[in-house]
Amino acid sequence: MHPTSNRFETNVAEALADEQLKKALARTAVGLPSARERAVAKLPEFEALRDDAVALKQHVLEHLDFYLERFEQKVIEQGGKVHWCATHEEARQTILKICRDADAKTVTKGKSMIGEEIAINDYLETHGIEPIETDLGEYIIQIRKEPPSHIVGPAIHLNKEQVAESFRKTHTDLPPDRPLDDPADMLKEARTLLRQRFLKADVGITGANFLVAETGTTAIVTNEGNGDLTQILPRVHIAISSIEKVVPTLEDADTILRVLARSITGQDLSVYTTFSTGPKRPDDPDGPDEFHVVLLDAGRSEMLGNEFKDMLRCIRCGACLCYCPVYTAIGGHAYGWVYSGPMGAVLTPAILGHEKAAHLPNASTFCGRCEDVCPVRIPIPKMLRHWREREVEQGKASAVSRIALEGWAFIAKRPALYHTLANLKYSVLGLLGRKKGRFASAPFTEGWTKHRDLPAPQGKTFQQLWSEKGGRR
Amino acid sequence: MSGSREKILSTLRKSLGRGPLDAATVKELEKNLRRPKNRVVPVRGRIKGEKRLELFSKMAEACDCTLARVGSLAEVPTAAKEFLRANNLPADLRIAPQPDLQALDWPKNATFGLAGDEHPVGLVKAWAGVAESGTLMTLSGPEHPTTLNFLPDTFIAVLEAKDLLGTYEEGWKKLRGRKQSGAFMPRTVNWITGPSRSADIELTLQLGVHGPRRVHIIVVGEA
Amino acid sequence: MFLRAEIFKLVAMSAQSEKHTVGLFVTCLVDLFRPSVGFAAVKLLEDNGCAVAVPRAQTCCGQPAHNAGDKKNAKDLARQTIQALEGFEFVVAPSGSCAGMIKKHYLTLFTETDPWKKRAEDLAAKTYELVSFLTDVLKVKKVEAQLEGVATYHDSCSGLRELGIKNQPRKLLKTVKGLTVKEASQPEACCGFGGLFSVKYPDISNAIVTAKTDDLEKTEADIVLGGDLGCLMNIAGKLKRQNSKLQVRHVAEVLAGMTEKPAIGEGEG
Repeated sequence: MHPTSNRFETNVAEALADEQLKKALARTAVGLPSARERAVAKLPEFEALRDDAVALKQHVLEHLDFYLERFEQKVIEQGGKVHWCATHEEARQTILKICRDADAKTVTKGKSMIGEEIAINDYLETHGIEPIETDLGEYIIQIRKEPPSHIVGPAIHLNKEQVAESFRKTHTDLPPDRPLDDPADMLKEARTLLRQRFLKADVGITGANFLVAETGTTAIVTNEGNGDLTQILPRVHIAISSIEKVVPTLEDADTILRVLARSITGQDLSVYTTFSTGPKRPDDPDGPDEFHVVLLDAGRSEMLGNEFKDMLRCIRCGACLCYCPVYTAIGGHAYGWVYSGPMGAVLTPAILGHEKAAHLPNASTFCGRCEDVCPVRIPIPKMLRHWREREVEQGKASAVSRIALEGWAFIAKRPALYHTLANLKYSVLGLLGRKKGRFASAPFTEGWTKHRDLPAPQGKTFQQLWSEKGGRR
Repeated sequence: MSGSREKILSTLRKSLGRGPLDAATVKELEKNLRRPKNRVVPVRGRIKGEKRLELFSKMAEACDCTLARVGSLAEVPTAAKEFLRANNLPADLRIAPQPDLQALDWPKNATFGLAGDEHPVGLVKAWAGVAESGTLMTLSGPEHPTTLNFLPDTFIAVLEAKDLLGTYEEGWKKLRGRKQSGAFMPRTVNWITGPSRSADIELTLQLGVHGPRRVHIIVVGEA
Repeated sequence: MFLRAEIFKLVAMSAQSEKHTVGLFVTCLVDLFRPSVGFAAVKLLEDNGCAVAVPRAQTCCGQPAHNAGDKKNAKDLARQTIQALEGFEFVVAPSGSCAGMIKKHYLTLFTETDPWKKRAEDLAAKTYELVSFLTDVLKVKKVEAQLEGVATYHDSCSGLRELGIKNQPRKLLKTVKGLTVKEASQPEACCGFGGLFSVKYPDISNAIVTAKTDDLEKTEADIVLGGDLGCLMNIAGKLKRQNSKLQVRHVAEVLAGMTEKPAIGEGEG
């Protein structure tokens, strides 16, 4: 998809005016956090597992070159191929070549954020190959030609009427008056339709929740089983993954798995956790003939060396989105790209370039809930602040920010001046506001008073009053 | 593209402020890969015997599996038929071609092999179960086509109580013990925890999205 | 010379009695908008064995600059604040975010070799938010205050997540005669203030504060309390715009039994 992160303010205005989105987000904001809380309460070792996951990820990142090389070696030993891609374009071209070599007409897809990131669907379509999303949520947004609005629940922003409408518009072979009021009806329809696509597909593309260096294994985690049907039915299985997903051993994978589903859906484990190693063996009755792993860098290797390194720990659980007051007010599409919420606000500028997503790190209250719930304890507000620091260093902060902050700092650094001005201004304001105690509007405060009254100062400042009292200094 | 491989690795190293790792460190890391260690393993699954079985049943039922218990493998076909009848499902079994299963007394219309879209019921023998989360563990191979786990609407897994493990770590340990032709990983290891589900439409939970709608586990024998 | 005078005063202060010497960090919002909170803080501290002084050279802790990515001004204001507050046994602020800034963030502003780092660490070690200082350091178990009605509490983000302030205000509020505390369904949800965020992204801020005020209204409480004036002004501003009857005060005002002044955003009539 074409990023619109630089249209953030327009996106936000549209989102805030969308009553239907508001209802959907209210569901997300309450339903998913309560599920997480229940799961966490049932596992006494949860905090220890989080610390363990942090230690694991930090170790891997310090030795990322080693683990990637070992992973590659093992994949090759098992009869698979590894393709290293520095950029999105390279990844697209690599995947297209594999599909062409396989004479592919249709490609089924398990849910993959990297797939969204490189916009592989559009690319394949342009080159005459039909991609079919199989995750129910991804399928819904594919037929609506929308980007995902949440990394785990891509269609979370829709109500069932909208889904039904899309099904009617797209599945034109079916009787137009068929009942589609119940999500169960839509599920049945999608299952039947997609089953046929699964069976006929030439290539299956999945993502990878992690890569295991010990065995050359890629692992996926789904609830639907679509990732499995995507990879065992076609002749070719392509697993696409960014480079930071590798873990050393199968036991290391267990630590990540124990915190992953719990953090988002509240399950101990997702229904299907699948570990895939190489193509099918000579005596396997089913499975793909070819196994490819496409490794994508696209900014990760650089992040390893800068102040955003901790972001590479992200396991894409999506918990931070559900807890974020900004995300739950504006939804995922407002962020303008495939990664939204707090993790999207850190990652999008890192991958697309700061100037293409400058608003995202600024649109945060730093409430800190994201860091609180992140299974791998990423200090997200700190990461967001680093983006703001870069903006200030490059002189790119907004005029409002710069004037307000410089003005304030100038006065605040001069206590005598500060107190004099304060005594003047706040006494006056206090007098003006005495009767009502608030202002519905005031010069230079439109941002505030657009939606809120501004409480009036009480009058003299504390310091002034303290002096008058002869208070101890 | 091999140019990219070198480019990525060299950028990684530059970011980490070093060149390739020294031989001693590499040796140490490789040693750890050959001798994997357990990390934090929750106490929950570290139980044995009947308690382990109780935990497994409790966790599996909480994920919408149904369970039945029989004394021996010989009773499995009856148990399977009973389950299907009780749920108004066709007694039309597609079974994994495993010697243990092939030796049993199945209805005449039961067939063996990999699954296609036309098979409403798939029946397999799970390689292991994991009590920690009520999870079934299966390995792909000539005796267990992976499609049996996913294509049929109803999935029946036979699990011998002696194959029930407590934690995922025990599963990996057991798997490494296979050492078939030096590489112990089959093409596919599946962990299955309940029937297929989705909450993609309005966060309404629904079962049977693409994978089986029903998971029935027949536990055989004593723990 | 200025510093020597301060130290002399301090020695004199503690020689006077066994009292703890506390430097009050007033915070800019309390100083400029609501001094009654400052006086409430002083009363609570003095009632519980503290000799309170208010250094004149304090203005802003630098948190707005820090959060906005303005490292230079944040550091300048940090140095100024450290210098103003160094001479006391404890430093107390009626604000979780300012106390959090001093306690958690000042030390990260200076490199290992910078002499200010040690000074920042020393200040951090003795800086506290007001209510948690009363309960956790002074071991205050109750207050002598009275207020009829039902209160609901808003947990400000910095106080909660940086300093762990959660039970302390509730413990003390329980001892206010006539007062019941009723929890909102999401007391820990952000109010949408976020400093400059509230004016840079006013519409998003509005959506968040509306969710907060809806939740607070549902409690049918008489009064909303909290420990951070920024949040409280934001919440009060929204409530007043909605013509709500809900009153908003800083928790210190209630704990100190000093609720004669109009609530936040209310006038004298």
